[in-house]
Amino acid sequence: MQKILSVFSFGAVFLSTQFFSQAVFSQGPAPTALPSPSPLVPDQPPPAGINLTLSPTLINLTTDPGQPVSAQLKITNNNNFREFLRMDLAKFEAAEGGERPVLLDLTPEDEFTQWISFSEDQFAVDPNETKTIKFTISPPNTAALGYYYALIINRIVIQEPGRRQTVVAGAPAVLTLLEVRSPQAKRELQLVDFRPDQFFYEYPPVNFGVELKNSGNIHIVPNGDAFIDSMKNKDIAILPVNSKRGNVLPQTQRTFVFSWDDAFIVRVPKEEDGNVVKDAKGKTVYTTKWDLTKANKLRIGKYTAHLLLVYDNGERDIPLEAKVSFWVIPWKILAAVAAALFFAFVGVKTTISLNLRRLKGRLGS
Amino acid sequence: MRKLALINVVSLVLALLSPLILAKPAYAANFTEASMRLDRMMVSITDNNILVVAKPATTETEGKVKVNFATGFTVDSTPANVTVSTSGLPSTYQGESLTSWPGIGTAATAVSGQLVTFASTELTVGTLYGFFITAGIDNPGSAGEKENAITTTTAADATIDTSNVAVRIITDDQIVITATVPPTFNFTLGANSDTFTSDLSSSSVVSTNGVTVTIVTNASNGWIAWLRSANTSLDSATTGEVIEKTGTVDDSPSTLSAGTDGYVLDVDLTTDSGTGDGTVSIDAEYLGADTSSGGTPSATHEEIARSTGTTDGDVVTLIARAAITAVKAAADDYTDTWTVVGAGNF
Repeated sequence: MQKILSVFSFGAVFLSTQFFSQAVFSQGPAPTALPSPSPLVPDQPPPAGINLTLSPTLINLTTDPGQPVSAQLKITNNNNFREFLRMDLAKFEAAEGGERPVLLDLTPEDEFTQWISFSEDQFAVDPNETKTIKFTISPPNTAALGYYYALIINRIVIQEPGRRQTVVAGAPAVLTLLEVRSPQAKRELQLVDFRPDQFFYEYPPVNFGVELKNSGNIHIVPNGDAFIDSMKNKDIAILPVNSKRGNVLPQTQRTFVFSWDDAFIVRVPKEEDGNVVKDAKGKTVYTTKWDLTKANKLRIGKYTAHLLLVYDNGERDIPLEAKVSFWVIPWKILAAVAAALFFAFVGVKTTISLNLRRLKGRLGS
Repeated sequence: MRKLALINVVSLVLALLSPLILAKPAYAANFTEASMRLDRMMVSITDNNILVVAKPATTETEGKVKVNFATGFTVDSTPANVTVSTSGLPSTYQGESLTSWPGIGTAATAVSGQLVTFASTELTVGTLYGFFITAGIDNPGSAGEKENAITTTTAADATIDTSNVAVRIITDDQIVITATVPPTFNFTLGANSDTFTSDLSSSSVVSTNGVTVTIVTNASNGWIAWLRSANTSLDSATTGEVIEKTGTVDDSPSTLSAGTDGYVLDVDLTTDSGTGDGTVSIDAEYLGADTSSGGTPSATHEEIARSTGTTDGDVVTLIARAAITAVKAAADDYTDTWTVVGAGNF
C-alpha cells in the first residue's frame, strides 16, 4: 500500500512539474525550474535489518503553560546503506507494578500529541552518519501537569513479504516525560512497604524492596539511602536507593530494589562457562563465596536497616522513613565451631579424668 | 574539751553535707520536644535552609539559643553570615501549632567552631517555637547520621534546656552526563523478514528461522521491547484465507496442534549479556515452553522482553510458529508484519 501511495505521489508531482514548466515556456523566456516537493522515498526497501543508535535514552522536560520547550535527539545509522526514516508518536503509561512503561496508541482525545513538532518529520541518514532531530513541544496556556510521549523512529518503507515470510520491522524509541508546571501540581509520595526478602539469613546478600505510591498528579524521582546498623555499631553500610533516578508516574506504585552484600561470606549465583546455573524449576542456584579481603566483615547477629528517601515537593526535600530488622546467622559455621568446642571439651575432660585416676592409683599403692 | 571536739566534728560533717542539702542540683533538662528539619538532605548542600524547633521544659528567662552542629557540617565562622528568619514559618509542625522564636534576631551573635549562638528572649514552657537558619551552614560531605544539639541558656550562659537532635544525610547519586559519555540506546534487527523453515503442513507445527533483536545500552534503568502484529494472523492476499492467532494475551503461552489452524509468537532469550548490570526477562505470554508453543500476537504493542539495567549486547530471538488444517487453501503468501519497538526505561 505504501508503495502504491509513493508511486502515485511521485506521478502527481512529475505530471504537475511537466504541466507547469510547459505553461511558463509558452509565455516567454527560458523557464526556471520551480522547486517541487519531493517525498523522501527510497528506491528500494532496505536490504537488512534496522541498526540505529539513539541518544539520549530518556528525555525529561519541564516548562510553564504556554511556553515552548525544545530538545534534540541524535540518530546514528550503523548500517552500510542509507536509511530513510520518519518520526512517529505514541504515548506511554506505567504498567502494573510501576517499574516499566506500557506503549499505547494515540486516540483523538490525546491533544498533547499535537503540541510537538520536529525539525524534520522524514529524513535520510547516510551510513555511519549521525542525524540530529530537534523537536519543540508547545503546550497551550491551559496545559498542566505530566505528559508522556514515545518518540519512535520508523523506516518509511519496509520490505515486502516474500514466499513463506513474515516481515519484521524494527523501530527504536525514546521515552519523553514532560512536566508543565502548575499550581495544581501535587507532588506526593507514600511509602507503602519496606522489607527484606526474608528475615533470617545464613549469609548475605540481603535483598530489600521499597514500594512507593505516587498519590500526586505529577511524576516524581525519589532517592536516598538505607543505613545498616549492627547491634553494636551504627552505619556499618550506607546503601543508595534508586541511584538510577527512576520515575514514579502519578497514581502508580513502583518497587525499587537494592541489596547488601558487603561481607566476608556471601551467597553468589553459581556460574558455569560464564552462564548462571539454574535448577530444574528455573531458579538460580547459589554457592558460597569467601572474600578474604573482607575477613573483618563476618556478619552475625541482628541488623537494622533505616531507610531515608527524599523527594522534592517543589519547595524542599520531603523525607520518607522506615526501619526493619533482620538476622544473619551463619548456622553451619556456628554448628561446626560448637561441635569442635564440644569435642575439645570432651577430650580435655577425658584426659584429665584419666590422669586423676592414675594418680589416685599410684597414691593408693 | 569533749564538747569542743564534738562541735568540730558536727561542723565538719555539716560542711561536707551542705552542698547536698542547701544547693539545688544544677543539671539541665531536656526540651519537651526538639527537632531540626533540613530543607535539603543530600551531602554537600551549601547554605542549607534549616528549621530549628524546640518546646522548652524549664521555666527560666532565656537569653540565648545555641545550636552545636555535628562534625562534618561546615559552619561559617562569621556570625553575620549565619542568618536566621521566622518568615514563612509553617503554622504547624508535626500537627502542633508552631510559634515564631521570640527575639531570634536576623543573624547569629557568636560562632565558635561548630557552636552557633543566637539571641533569644523568654520562652513559655509548653509552647513549640521555631526559626529558620537560612544561610551559613553547609551539609557534611559524607552520608550518615549526624547528632546536633540545641540548647537554651540564660543571658549569663547558664544552661536551661538542651537536647541532642539526630539528622541523617544521604548521598547524592545524580548521574552526570558529560559530552564524552552520552546515554545511548542501540537497537538492531537481525533481518527484515523471517522465513518458515518449510512449507506449512497439517502434519506438524512449523516455525520460522527466527529474527534476532540486539540491544546495547547504558540506560541505567534498562530497556523494554514491544511487538505489534499488523494482522494478528497469517493472511493470504491471493486466497483471502487466514491462519488465525491462537489463544489470548493472558500471561500464558498457547500450544499449537498439528492439523488445527494456529499461529503464535515465541520469544527466546538468546543472550543475557554478563557485561552491564541488567538482567533480561522474557514476558510470560511469549515464553514458549517448546517448539509448538508461543504467545498470542497482538494488534497493540505488547511487551515481549525487558532488562533491568545496562548491557553490551542482550539478544532475544523472535520466532513465528504455525499449524494448519489439511484443507487450508494453498498459497505461498500467508504473511504477517511485526513491528518491534525498543526503548530505554524511565
